[in-house]
Amino acid sequence: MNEDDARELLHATAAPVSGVDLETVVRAGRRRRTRRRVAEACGGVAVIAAVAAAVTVPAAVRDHAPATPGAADPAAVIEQAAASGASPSPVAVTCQGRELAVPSGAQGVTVTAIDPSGRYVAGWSVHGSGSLPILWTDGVPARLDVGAPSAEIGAVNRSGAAAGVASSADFATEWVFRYEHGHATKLNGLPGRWHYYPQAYLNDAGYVLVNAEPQGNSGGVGGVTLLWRPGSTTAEKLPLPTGTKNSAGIFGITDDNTIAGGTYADGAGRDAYVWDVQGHGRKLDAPQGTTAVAYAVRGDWATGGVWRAGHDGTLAVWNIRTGAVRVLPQEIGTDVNALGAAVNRTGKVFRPDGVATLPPLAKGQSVHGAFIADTGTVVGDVSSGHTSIPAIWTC
Amino acid sequence: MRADVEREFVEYVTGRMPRLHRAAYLLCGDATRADDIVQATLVSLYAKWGRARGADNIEGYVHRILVRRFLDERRSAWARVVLSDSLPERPDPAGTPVEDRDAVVTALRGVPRGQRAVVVLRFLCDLSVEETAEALGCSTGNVKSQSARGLATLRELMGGVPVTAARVGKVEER
Repeated sequence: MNEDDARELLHATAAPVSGVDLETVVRAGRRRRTRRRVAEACGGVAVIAAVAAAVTVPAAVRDHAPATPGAADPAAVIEQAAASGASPSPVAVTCQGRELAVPSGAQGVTVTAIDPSGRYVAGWSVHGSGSLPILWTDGVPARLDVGAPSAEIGAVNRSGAAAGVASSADFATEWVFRYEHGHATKLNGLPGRWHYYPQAYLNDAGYVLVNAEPQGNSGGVGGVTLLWRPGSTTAEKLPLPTGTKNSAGIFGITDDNTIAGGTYADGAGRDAYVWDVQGHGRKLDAPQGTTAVAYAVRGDWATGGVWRAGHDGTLAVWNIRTGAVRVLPQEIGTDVNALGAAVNRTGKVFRPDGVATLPPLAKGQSVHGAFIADTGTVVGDVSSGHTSIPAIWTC
Repeated sequence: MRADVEREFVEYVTGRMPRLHRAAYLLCGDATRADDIVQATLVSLYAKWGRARGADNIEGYVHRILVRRFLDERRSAWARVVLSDSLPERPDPAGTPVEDRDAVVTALRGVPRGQRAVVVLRFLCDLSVEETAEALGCSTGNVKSQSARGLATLRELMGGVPVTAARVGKVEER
């Protein structure tokens, strides 16, 4: 048999009818998207994959009330390193990296969160078309049984409690769960079938939030943001920031219940916002002529991106107490800690006093930091060729 | 994902599913597992679609995911149970006639996985040596040697019988 014979043979060999259902693929694919990939998907404009949650509220007078007590004048200081061409200065910080152990047999492991203390790390591994949740405690991984064929943890707090989204085997049904004390509790959603995206969020107090849209919709059409108070399994609709007319998506909550995200119009991000569970909040400042979205928040700090029409997004770090924003000529931020240090997917840590670099674990690896604890511990992955492995750095 | 981008994904996938399914089927020799491999491949592609849609060689990219899914099966608990307890049957090298696809699939199952991946990518998916090397993450020299060995193994398993499309029946791409 020569090459032509082989070619002819294989091309002439039929396969049984495929049972793959494209709807199931799309549903599973939507679930697979994580905050990291959401951030990666933002090319050119502030249009976010599976992000725009339409939270409908009556139009009201625009209110830029501070989200936190004692907030400064919203006439914020805007430091535009991008405009001046300045790059952040390196700081003399040494970061040590190591591979994050994974459960036996785990494939395609992705980390999705680190708690503020750095003790707990959340993530999941690929299992067929679905996902299996993993929780690391002091670097030791454990699979979590949340009673679902497929599940992903999106957040973990200082107590080791976690929140995530689970799916039925065919991905037709999704639900949000809270995991604590070794037990997962299903949180009741709204009537009907909903798709939850990109992940669940949780703070130390135990508030759980998630964006939701009716199954079959995309781009957040007809969506809401849901909130479960500590100990409760009953969902509430989160109000939009007072005065906003557009839809909104949320991407984080602080321990004092300040929620960060952005408003959207036609699926495209417009303004970054912080607000509370009553809807009191304010727009985060951004350079004139840009749109912005906040992707993470902790303590007094938020990070995300700002976009000029037709350009890639750039990193923004907001002090939500003073209103000051730093815009740097870097990829958009994916996480921030209580000290104002932000990370993005480039393997750098952008601290208020300069930038630190996460080293590869081996020569030739690409480094991707994704989430940062208040201790400075960063989790992400390193990749070489087509293989990536989860990693953790202490700085 | 924005509705228009998702539509683009669905359109792209719809046109390629039959071929991907056939590649997966010839790789693993089982229709159900082929469905699992294709579904896992497409889910992964969906999650990376924002980047993949702009790739220079998206076909190679998709095949790379498909083959990785196939090769990764060996590490799954399911594969350990099913594959190790059920060794592929080898056809009679004395010259079993090739009558239908089952003979081809059975023969392919006797070809080592790495060689089989090269053979399917090269001669069913029509990837070049370079594209196959990229998809498998190995050198072009490795692809050439695996290809030659794979064909030799396949030839041996099929008893040296020359195979033509006419003998396995004409196939209509679904």
